[in-house]
Amino acid sequence: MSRLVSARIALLDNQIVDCHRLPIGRADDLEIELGGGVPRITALLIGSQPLGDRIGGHLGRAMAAVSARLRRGAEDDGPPAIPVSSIRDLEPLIELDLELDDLPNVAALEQWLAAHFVERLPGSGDASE
Amino acid sequence: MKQAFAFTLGTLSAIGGFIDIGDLVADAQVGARFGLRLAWVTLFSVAGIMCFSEMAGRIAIKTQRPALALARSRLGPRFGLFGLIGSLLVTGLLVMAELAGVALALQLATSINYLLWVPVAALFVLIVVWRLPFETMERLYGVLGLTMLVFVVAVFQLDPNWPNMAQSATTIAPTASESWATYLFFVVALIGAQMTPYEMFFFSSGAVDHRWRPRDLWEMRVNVIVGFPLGGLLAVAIQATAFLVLFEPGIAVEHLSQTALPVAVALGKAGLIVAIVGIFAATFGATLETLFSTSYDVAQYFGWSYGKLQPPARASRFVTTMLAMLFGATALALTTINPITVTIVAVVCSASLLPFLFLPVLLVANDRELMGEMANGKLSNAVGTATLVLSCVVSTLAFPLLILTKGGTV
Repeated sequence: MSRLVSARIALLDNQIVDCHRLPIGRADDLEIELGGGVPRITALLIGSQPLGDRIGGHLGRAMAAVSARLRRGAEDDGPPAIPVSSIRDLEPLIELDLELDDLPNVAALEQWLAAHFVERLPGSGDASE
Repeated sequence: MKQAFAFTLGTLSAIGGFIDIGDLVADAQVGARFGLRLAWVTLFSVAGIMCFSEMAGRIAIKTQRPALALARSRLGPRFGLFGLIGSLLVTGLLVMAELAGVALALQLATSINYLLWVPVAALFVLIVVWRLPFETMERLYGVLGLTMLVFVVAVFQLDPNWPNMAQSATTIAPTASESWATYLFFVVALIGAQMTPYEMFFFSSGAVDHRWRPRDLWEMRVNVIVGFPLGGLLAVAIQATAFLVLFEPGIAVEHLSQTALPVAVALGKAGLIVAIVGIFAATFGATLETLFSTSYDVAQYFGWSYGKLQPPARASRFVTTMLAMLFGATALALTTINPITVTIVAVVCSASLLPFLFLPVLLVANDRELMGEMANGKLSNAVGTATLVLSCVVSTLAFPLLILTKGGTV
């Protein structure tokens, strides 16, 4: 990907979808590596923690704190990060060459709610049919 | 089949969005107190909401992203969060008001107190949201909502003095017994009731859900061109029936039954039944629209999976948000808080929020880098800018007038 794009326009805050175009989240923040002379964007950060940090103020800090708290106990530390190498396309949405199911740390709340709440409701299987 | 289906998206937006509890209350109040002297507001509202819904639909077609989702990308997460919280508060109040409206329609039909109907109505909504496919949902309430046309029939049946009506419709001033402040307050209330932002967002999310593409541009426009003026016609018809029956005796509209009363006078029991079906369909459709719209807004801001086209387990955060909203609305309705008061407060808050939700849509629709050849033309920009400027005036006046006139009761 040698094309020049603006990180502000093409990456930050844009919708990320997986290879089946299922929504994964938004590029809530970018991870930048400073080593080696030229700063490089290495990953897209997803979740309310990086988002809250960016929004700032009382509300932003509260968002980040709640999100960090909810994730505590999970194996890794830090918010879910998607390496930029898995980006397949930038227009109109940020499309990855991964499947949502291959990203265990992304959308943890979604999976938790699905397993503990939504799938237990009667008739949750085929509402779209 | 796709044509008819696409058409009903517009009718649902029009009947369920344009004519909702806010209109049923505000139009009848305005008709009973001012006759047709505020009918011009509806013309302005229809033009404004058509312009912005068309823009939001065009944005959704071109970018495959709903309008509010782009607001965050283009104007940053802070502005996006402000818009999200604002529209959540207003539309959340409206969910409660619409739900109470469904219960009030059932009270009209059965004489059983609406509070007993609130949980039943919430259960209906839950079943429809949970089990009914989107298309069936849209068609059903689109078609049932057409029974609201009974208000138009009632106007003719009441055999009005047409020159009188025309004179009232062309007078832009309060009636002798009312003050200018009250008149202006109802201008704000009508605009808030008729130009509700959730219509715009529901419409653009629907366009994304339906996977509309550039070749569907005119289909989308037909929906806007047919749907919203139809809603406007119904709004003026409600004002006119209230004018013809309630204005002379000086009956104040304090309950939803008084909105339906003129139809009963004009067309008897049969007319009343049709009107109640229409009110039920309109408020029910609006309950669904407001509920979906608030949940769409949240999901899009955070980039969650959403929509009626996903199995619930794939969009569990979206589903949970929607169920929580419905539960909260039911609980609020059961506090016995007066739904008519809540409606008036909600439409005034909605009016004060308009410029903050119109501005990002106008900016995104003008972004040539993003929209390419589908960016705004001169007509959209002229009408859009005029609407935005007027909505700023309305927004500034909304709360002072609400306090000054004590919600139009003075």
